[in-house]
Order: sequence, then C-alpha cells, then structure tokens
Amino acid sequence: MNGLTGCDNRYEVSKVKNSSDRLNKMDAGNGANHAKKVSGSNNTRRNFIKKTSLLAAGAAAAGSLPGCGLGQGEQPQSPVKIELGKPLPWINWAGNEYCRPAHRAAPTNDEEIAEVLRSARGVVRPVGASHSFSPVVPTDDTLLTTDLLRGVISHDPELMQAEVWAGTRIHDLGPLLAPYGQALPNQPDMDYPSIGGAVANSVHATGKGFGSMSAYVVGLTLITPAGELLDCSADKNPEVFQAARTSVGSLGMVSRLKLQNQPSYELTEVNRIENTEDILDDLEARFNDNRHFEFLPLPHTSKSLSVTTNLAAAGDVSEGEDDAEALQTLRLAFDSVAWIPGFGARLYRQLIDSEMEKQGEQGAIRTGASYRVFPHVRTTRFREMEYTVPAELGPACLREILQTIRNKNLPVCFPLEYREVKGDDIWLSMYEGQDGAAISFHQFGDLDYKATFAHIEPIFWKYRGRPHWGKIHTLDAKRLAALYPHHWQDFQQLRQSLDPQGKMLNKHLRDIFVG
Amino acid sequence: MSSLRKTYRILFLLAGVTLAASQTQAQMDERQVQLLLSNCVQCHSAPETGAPLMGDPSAWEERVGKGEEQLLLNIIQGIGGMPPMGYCSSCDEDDFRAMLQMMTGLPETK
Repeated sequence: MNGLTGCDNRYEVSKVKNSSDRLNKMDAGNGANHAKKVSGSNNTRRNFIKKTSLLAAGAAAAGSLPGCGLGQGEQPQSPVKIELGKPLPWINWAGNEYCRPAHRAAPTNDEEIAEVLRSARGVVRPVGASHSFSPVVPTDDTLLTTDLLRGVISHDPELMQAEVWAGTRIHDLGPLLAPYGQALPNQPDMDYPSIGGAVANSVHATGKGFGSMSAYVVGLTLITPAGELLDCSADKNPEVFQAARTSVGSLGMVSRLKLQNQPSYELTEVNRIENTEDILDDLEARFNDNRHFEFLPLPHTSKSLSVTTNLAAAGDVSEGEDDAEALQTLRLAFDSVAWIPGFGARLYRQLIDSEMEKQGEQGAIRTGASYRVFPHVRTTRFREMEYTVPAELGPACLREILQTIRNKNLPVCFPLEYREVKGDDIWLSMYEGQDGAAISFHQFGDLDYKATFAHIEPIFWKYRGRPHWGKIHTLDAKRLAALYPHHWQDFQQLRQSLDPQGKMLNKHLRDIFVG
Repeated sequence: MSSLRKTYRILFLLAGVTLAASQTQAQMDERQVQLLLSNCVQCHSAPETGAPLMGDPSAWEERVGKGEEQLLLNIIQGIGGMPPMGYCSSCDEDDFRAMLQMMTGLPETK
C-alpha cells in the first residue's frame, strides 16, 4: 500500500474489523456495543474532491484545457419538451425513459387497485419512485402509481415483522419502523425507491450474509390483472409467492408486503481510498469479516473507494460528511486531461494515483441509526448497467472490465461499484441458486452511454452474468431464459395463467419475457 | 448524532410548513399533502441534499425571481440534483403548483 496506509488508519480499520468479528452475525439487537474508538480521520470524499479540484485547476492554469462542462448543472433533464397546460408525461429518475399515459390512476387501497386493473384497457404498468433505468414502466395506456400507498399497516413485535404498503419509499421505512423497535436488516446505498419497486426488481444492498430486498419478504398481497386479491406466503399460494417476489411487475400489482425485520440497530461506516488490487487480493476476508463491504473502483486509475460497515460501538463518532458533488469534481479532473491525444488517460491515472499516494487514504466515518447510515445522497444524474455474476467469478470479471476500459481508452471516469449478495430461492432473482457479485457500470446522464456500455456488456456475458431487471441491458427472453435454468418456465407459465391477455406487458416486458 | 439530525429535520420541516403556510394562501388537500410527504420532503427538508429547504426564504428568494412558470418547468423537467417530476408519478400540474406555492411562499394562482 506504500504511503497510502498510514499507521493510524491501519489501526482504525483493524479495530473496526475486530469489533465486527464479534458482532456481525445477523446482530439481533441495538448493539451491545463493545468499546471501540474510531477517530483521527478526515473525510475521504471531501479530500478526494480537494485533490481532484487541484488537479483540474492546475491543468487549467497551464492552458492545456478545452472547454470542460460540469454536466447537467442547471440544464433541464427531461427527454421531452414540456408544455404547461397539457397532460404531463411520466419520466424516470435518469431521464432516459418516458411515456404519455392516457390514464393515470393513483389508488389508495386494494379495492381501487383491483377496479383499475379490472376496467383498464390496453397495457397497465405499475410504478414506484421511477428509479429504474430500464424501460419497465412506459405505457401509453394506464399508469398505476403508488405514491398514495404508503405507511405501516400492522406489525408483529414477537416475529419482528411488519406489513407495509408497497408504495412506501425506503427512506420512509426507517422512521416508520423505528417506533416499533424494528429496522430493515439491510438497505441499498440510496433510499429513493419504493419498497414495492425494490422487491419487484430484486433491488439489493451488499453483505455476504444478506439477500436482496426480495429475500426479506415473508408475505405479500398480489392483485391480479383480473382484479383478484391473492394473499401469498411460503404456505399460502407458495408458487405465486416465489414468482411475485421478483416479477418486474408482470403479475399484476403487489399492494402490500410483509417484511422480516430485526430489532433497531446502529451502524458505523468507514470510507477509505485504497489500491484496487489490494482490495481484490483481500476480498474474501473483507466480505467475511464485515457486516457489509463494497468498493468503487475509479476507472483509469489503480484506486478504489472502499466502504466498510459494521455495528456501531460505544464511542463511535461521525467525522466528515458525504459530498454529493464529488462525482462532478472527478469528472472535471478527467475532462481536464483525458482528452489529450496519446497519453491523456495515462496522465489522468498518474495524477490521481500520485495525489492519493501523497495525501494518504484518510477514512471518512458515518455512524448512527442503520437507516441513516446505509443511504447516501445522489444528486448526479447517471445511467447504469449492472450484472450479477457468480460470486467466485466476480474479481476476474471486474479485472477484465477495468483492463478493457484502459485498453480501449473508454471515455468513462464514473466509479464502478462491486457488491456481494447472498443467494436465494426466488425464481427470477439474480441471486437464485447462487451467491452473487453485483458489478455496476455507469455513465453520466448527459453523455452517451450506449457505445460505452456496448464495450462492457459482453464481458458480463462471458462470466455468466444476470442483468439487474431495473437497469440497462440488451438481453431478450431467449438469452435470459438460459440464465435461469431452474424456474424460467415455471415463472412464464404462472405469468400467462394470471395474465392471459398480456395486460401487464409493455414492449420491454414482451421483449424480456415473451421474445 | 443521528437522533439529533432526525430531530433537527423534523423541527425544520415543521418550521418550514408553518412559515410557508403563513406566507401564502396556498391550500393543499390531503392527497397533495400525502404526495408531498412521500416525495418532496425527503430532499427539501434535508440540508445534506443541497436542495432548497421548505420555509427557508433565503433559499428561495433568487429562485422565486424566475417566476412561478419557470419554477414549475424546473420541477417537471428536473434541474440540478432534482429528477424530472420530483419522484412523483401521481402529480399533475395543479399538484406541483400547490406544492411549489407551499414550499416557496408564492401566492396562490387563481
């Protein structure tokens, strides 16, 4: 690690790990905390910003720069022209998908949902918080929104379970469950989606001992395209249950979800800059020894941001804070030098690497209630492709992607993301039958992503990757079927029995399920 | 720390709603309140997001100068860190207008 690992920082991480060793087994409590002091660090992300800003400013001063924009800034992000006074379109978070539904229904209960589904003509598509990058939502006919289906319906203090409306946003769930002493066992690193949308697409977080959000659903209410209400669990309508826990909204609409929670708990997250190869060499231990671990490799450099999260211990204190503008600053640095013919990318790598070496790795720390520590603010618009490969193939897959970015000099500086998720038995979950390494590849929202993604996607195929249902990919039904050898046909037969007319299928769902 | 932050957020939200309501005649029905709580509040009551906060006149002064129509377009088209439609798939133009008036203290449109 050369100069990157100062003695102080190594000591801190060591202490975090030792603490986690005692506590990381599905910790069922508010943390009988062990004495641990995490201190003496600054904010990695903020330091990183300062460093990259210096690079960009230095390069600019040398007069070697073209005009370098900082992305969307104050520019409109809609893919369509908006005219006030006319019906509004629906647009997703990333701004790459939209539609103009003829009818928009915002039900408040099961009966209203059933009536919409029964009476609707054409294609009906449910929508949560519009965070999917893939075209799972667009319909010209009926958009079934879930904004008004929010809140906790009931809870069981003994089983640590709670039934919630499917439209409840994940950012609401933490505060809503806290009064009952409950918390989600795991959460993604952003909390904008609805829980219904998250489950429909097998949205996940990271942690070797934790499944996707779908894995914590122990019961659900499905309203079929015919308007029939089906209560489903492992004991009741079990096949529908296994299909509906990851259905991409193709079986009707899930209105309620019963979640398996755990007692409220607190976490401490430590962020560090490290050598990517050092992380990969130590990867098994990182995932085994910590409740949660992930890392974000910086393309064209040898560095990654690592994020290690464990139960909080007495004396843990937050230091620094997230800086939502870090990505834009990274982009400024990249734009400032990477364009230089012949050696721009190498110059970028050398500048970033050497600055990091000089400055050391400095860990940022966030501690507090689990639902405050898991999520991070996202204010930079981007597009995302993510595939899950078998966990044991993850390091090789990532290495090949990073090498390809360098070899082809791809114009990308947005960090990748590497996470691990526990296997499950949900028919169309990306983790069905295998522990998975989820590798995400991004591009800024105002840049073309298709050409860059096209260079990377075949690498995922080579490693038997399954695409995230809510993110960008180009696979069709035939190729997807081959990736789900156990239950693809079971799912399709069930889907056709519940929706013989294909009422829930827009063009994208026809492409991925029918072909 | 987190409980402090949570308390601060709640207080800020309450103060924001109270202040905004006192400055404007804007009326939101129960449905619109639910839409606001489900979508807008997550950022516009959270200082760490960088979004202009409800009931903070200094945050809105310059923006209000652009006029209600432009602010409405910004909501629908997305701007800066705010996504198009502000996460709200149920919202129509009247909903966004009511929320905008509540948040900024703009007078109600007749």
